[in-house]
Amino acid sequence: MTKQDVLKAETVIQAVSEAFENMAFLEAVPNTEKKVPGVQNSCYSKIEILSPFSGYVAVVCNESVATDITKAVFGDISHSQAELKKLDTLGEMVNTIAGRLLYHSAGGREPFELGLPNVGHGLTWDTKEVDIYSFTVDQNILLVIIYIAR
Amino acid sequence: MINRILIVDDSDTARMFTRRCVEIAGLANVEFVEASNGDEALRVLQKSKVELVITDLNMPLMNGEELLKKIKQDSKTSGVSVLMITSTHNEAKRTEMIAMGALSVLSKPIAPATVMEALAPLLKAGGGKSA
Repeated sequence: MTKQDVLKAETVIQAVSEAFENMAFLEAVPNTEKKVPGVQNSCYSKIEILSPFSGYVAVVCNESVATDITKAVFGDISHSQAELKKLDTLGEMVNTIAGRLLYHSAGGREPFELGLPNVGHGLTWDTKEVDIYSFTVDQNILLVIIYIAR
Repeated sequence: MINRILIVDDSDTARMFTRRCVEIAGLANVEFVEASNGDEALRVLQKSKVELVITDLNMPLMNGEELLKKIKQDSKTSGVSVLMITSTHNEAKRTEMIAMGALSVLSKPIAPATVMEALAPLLKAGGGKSA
């Protein structure tokens, strides 16, 4: 598996689709525009790639997408639990997306290791260092950001 | 007969998702108990009778591999079936865990059909409470 294999758009789309369709029964439609849309009021989940090379995969979306995904998984959630459940769901989502991405990138033939997901609000990134893939989930934008160490 | 299943994962979402898959797979009237890491799972196993553990591999404090090892080493729990779930892929590690006594190692995202397939030998041998 090469770094270029991980960054192929069709592999990223396949990984995101599998995660969304299986976990949340939602469709994530890839956006074809070159310009990456901004995401207001964003929360994120991020997981380190530990081997065969170092990097990370992150999912960034606004609160509305996070709520939709969480409701799709849990059904209705109480207000007091909403924030924790939202971040936990995003963490599990990035874990699954990264796993499928690396699995498909290697054609299922090579081992890889991931860290534990971390979650929060307001992730920043250097646009020159990362590859960004944009999706629409129920009329809102979701970004998948991939960084592979050069 | 599977009466009680222990689901072990540090994510609430993953535990809920696993439980839903097991239910859709057709195991009815089964009691579910949960733990968020291997250490907590071992404490549950000391207190309650569990026939099947479904555990994530990658967890803080005590991971799934260490949990499997401890379950199989303890004569009180060595008969408990253990199904592993992971987002990573490592064929050598998978073979190692099967050799250690894991029933199967499934990749995330799991689906009811793959859970059913993995549990088939267990259900044939002892009979689960299938719906």
